[in-house]
Amino acid sequence: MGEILLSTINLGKTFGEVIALEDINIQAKSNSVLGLIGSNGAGKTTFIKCCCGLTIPSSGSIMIGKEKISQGSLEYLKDIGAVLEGNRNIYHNLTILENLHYFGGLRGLSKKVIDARSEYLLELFDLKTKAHTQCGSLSRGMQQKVSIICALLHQPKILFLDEPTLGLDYDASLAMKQAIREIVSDDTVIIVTSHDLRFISDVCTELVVIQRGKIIYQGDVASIRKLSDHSNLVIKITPNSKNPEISQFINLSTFDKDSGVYQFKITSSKDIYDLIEKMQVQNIEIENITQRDYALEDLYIYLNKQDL
Amino acid sequence: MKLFITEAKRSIAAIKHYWLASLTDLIVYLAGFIFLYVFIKGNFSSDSAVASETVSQLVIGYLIWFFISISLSYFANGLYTEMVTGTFEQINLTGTRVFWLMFVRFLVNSIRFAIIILPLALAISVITRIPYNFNTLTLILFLLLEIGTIGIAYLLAGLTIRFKNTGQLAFVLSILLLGPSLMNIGVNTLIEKAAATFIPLIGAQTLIKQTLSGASSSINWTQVAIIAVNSIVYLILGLVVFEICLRNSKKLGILNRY
Repeated sequence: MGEILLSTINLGKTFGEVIALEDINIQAKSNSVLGLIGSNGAGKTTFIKCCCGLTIPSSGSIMIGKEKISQGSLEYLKDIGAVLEGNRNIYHNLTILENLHYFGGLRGLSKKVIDARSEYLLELFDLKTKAHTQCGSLSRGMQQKVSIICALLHQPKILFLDEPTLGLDYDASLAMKQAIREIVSDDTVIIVTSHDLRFISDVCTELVVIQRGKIIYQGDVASIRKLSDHSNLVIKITPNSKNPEISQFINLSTFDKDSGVYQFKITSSKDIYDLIEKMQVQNIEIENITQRDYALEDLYIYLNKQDL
Repeated sequence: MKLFITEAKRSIAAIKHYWLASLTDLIVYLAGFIFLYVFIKGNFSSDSAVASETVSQLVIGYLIWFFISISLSYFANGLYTEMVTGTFEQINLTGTRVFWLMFVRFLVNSIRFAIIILPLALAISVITRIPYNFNTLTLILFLLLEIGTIGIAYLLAGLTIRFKNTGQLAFVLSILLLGPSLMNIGVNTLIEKAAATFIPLIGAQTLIKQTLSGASSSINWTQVAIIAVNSIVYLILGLVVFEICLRNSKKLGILNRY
């Protein structure tokens, strides 16, 4: 990671009495994927729209590289690409190539550049064979890819993806992950929002948690597991096995008798052996054991509890 | 120019994909002109000077109606469609000034329809052997009228961006603007005088009719100057309202809502 491509300084937005964003200070560096998470209405989309000039902030400032964005300026948009949530970001009555030529033309790109970039991006997103297909007849996943290609056409430094996996099936979501990994580069940062925490932890290198317009956590994804002194051991017992005597397990954190899944907090490998031994003493048959590090889901749940 | 080519290509692509819709447009315009032809043929003889004046008025009235409709439609309705389909924010993200893009769209579509309409209008004149009295002044007045109309279209588009649903406002405006193209408005009463002075579309249409009747020599040039100033004021006012509404919509975070 290197150069700071986007930074916000005390960014704030109010809609009447409602505070949508309050003192947001974010730095997004090149060659990174920054994940923005938070519940509905937390302020993620407002943040993106403020950065894109689609919503005018009430306070604070936004810097692209070292330059502060002045309101009304459109020049900085050449460094920005965005796929916005829930929108049709492309014309469904046009083919993929027609969309690319249209948006490329509006961005002032030459035909030669549009052709070259289209070929590269269609290949990257595996859409070359569909280039002459009207977007309205593509699957949701493909339409989302076309939106991303349109947003990447002018090689922006900052790419915003607001809920890119919304409505996508597993395969399309997987393809989206791969695409994000491939497009992030030394001079690009991707800022992505999603409610799919697994998706975020898989693709993001940095994380910002927003709740009620405020940042409640900021850090790199890799260090999340270091936030806790324990990891989780998930033990699934066989359906025929008798239920364990819960009182015997002081480190039990959650359990579901119906599915036979028990989760324990463990701090060392000794804890694992002790657990298995106690289970054997109680004649409990174990179907499988999984060790899971402290993860984004745990952090998110913890932060939400703290925030209540 | 680049923007014009980009927009023209998009328009051609849309025609290609929805050729049936374009074909029905063509049929409607053709039917209008056939009706006009039958009407002219049945009521006027080719050697009459009155026929030339009346037919010219009919045709120019039709053209004015046509271009005003396109202006209003491609500004306000076009924007509304963008907001409903969700591409409006993407357009804002391209860095192209929206007001400029809208003007180019209007220009492209005007040319597109002019390619159909003008040959048909010419054909009527050739077939009926009734010449039109169009002259340079008619063209100048027509352009002034169009500038004023674009100003009103910007105003309407701005209100659409800010308030989303403007109800029957476009319809009310078209009635106000199109009325004088279909009937003669005098300058006898105070209201008529005020309308002719402050609404460029009404004043211009009245003067256009005068040029068609061959009365160009008696044209009130002060009135032409007033129309020119009015049209420019309407255009500036429309643009200012449009930009204020766009900014206001961004402040409220409702740019893409509909």
